[in-house]
Amino acid sequence: MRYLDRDKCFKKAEINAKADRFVRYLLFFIAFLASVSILFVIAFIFIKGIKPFVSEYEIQGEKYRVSFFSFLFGNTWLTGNSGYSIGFIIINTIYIAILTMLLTAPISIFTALVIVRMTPKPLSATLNTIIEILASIPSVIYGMFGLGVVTNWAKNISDLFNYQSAGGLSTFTVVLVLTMMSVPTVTMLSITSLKAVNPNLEKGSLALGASRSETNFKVIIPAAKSGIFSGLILGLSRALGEATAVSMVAGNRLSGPSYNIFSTTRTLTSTMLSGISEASGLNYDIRFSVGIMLIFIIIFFNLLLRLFKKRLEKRGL
Amino acid sequence: MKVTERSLKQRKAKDISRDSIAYLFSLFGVLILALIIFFVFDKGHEYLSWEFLTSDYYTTNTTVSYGNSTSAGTFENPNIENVYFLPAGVSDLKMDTTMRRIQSFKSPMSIRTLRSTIS
Repeated sequence: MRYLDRDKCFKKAEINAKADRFVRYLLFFIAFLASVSILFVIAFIFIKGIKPFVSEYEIQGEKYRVSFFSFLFGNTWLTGNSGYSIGFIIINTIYIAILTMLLTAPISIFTALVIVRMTPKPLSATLNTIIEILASIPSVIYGMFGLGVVTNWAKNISDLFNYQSAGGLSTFTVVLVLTMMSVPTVTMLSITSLKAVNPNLEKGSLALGASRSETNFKVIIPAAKSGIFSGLILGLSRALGEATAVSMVAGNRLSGPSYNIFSTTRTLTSTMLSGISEASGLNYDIRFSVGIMLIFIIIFFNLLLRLFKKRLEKRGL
Repeated sequence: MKVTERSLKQRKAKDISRDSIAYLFSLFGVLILALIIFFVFDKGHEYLSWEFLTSDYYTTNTTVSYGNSTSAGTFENPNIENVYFLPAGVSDLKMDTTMRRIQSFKSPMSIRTLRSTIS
């Protein structure tokens, strides 16, 4: 047996300890950089977004300041030179997000169930690949598809109800496009959580006499609800935060709220994006104020869904 | 609970309906992907060419010569390939390479124009 020199051992241990310390500091620095960059972005948005309510802007020789109250509760995007309001846009955004989630949730959960438990392996792998491809398609392609195809569907369906739609630019189109975009995200997370369900649960259910279908719907899905909820939270965030595709099919209505699914609409993201390249001064800064509201809404919905998830877990559902 | 022929049938019907709904919903993803791919290729394939991939996004027009329009109307088109002649009173020539057509005509002079890619 070969014995190492005592000094050499100490030296090696010292080098290892130094390397450990270096890696620890490096990782800490990277984490710090990531946190600081997020804080920097948020701080930038807040500073820019608060400016319209505290500073005066000169427009055509006159000074204007936006009223925070009318900004938050108004029902017309722009009246005069500085009367910006997003009350109706907030309602439209929440309305669209809820409709999108109502469509996305069953489609995603059932698709995940079919992929994980109801199809033979080759078919399941094909479906999985399709979902992954859909998740990787850029939003502008969804927007173009919405503009070229879904608007025609909306137009034809609205014709059936004798409603004159603006060439199909409508809430209906926005909801369908957002559903197409959020389904892959929610499905992928649901697949992961369904795969993670303890196989003994399935065996137990089948042994007690439940059919395969009953086991899938009444045992497996409830057991995977935590992951499914995480997927829904991500899907909702995507629905709330999507700008490009929504701007292409929303119609950017100037006043509202619009509850009719065949009428044009406007969301917070489409408001921020539309005409940003020509915007300057107040018209530019007010988009950051809209961004602050969007951040608050996304945080609010995330907390709401988490609370709902916790309640369900507490009740053992 | 007593298992009867009727309850078994009901259970089977429920199973079939549940499974059918799940299969139907899962078709959504497949249909959407197929539709998107079909739509993009259907709309875009006719403009795909080697020139489209390698040339500039916008075509740049180059004016090679111009003169007063005093002799307008007497000029004969020599039919040179890729050379375009505009009538008198034409100024702003814009070629749309994808559609291969001249878009606007307004000028006090006759202009002989070549596409820069050709020149």
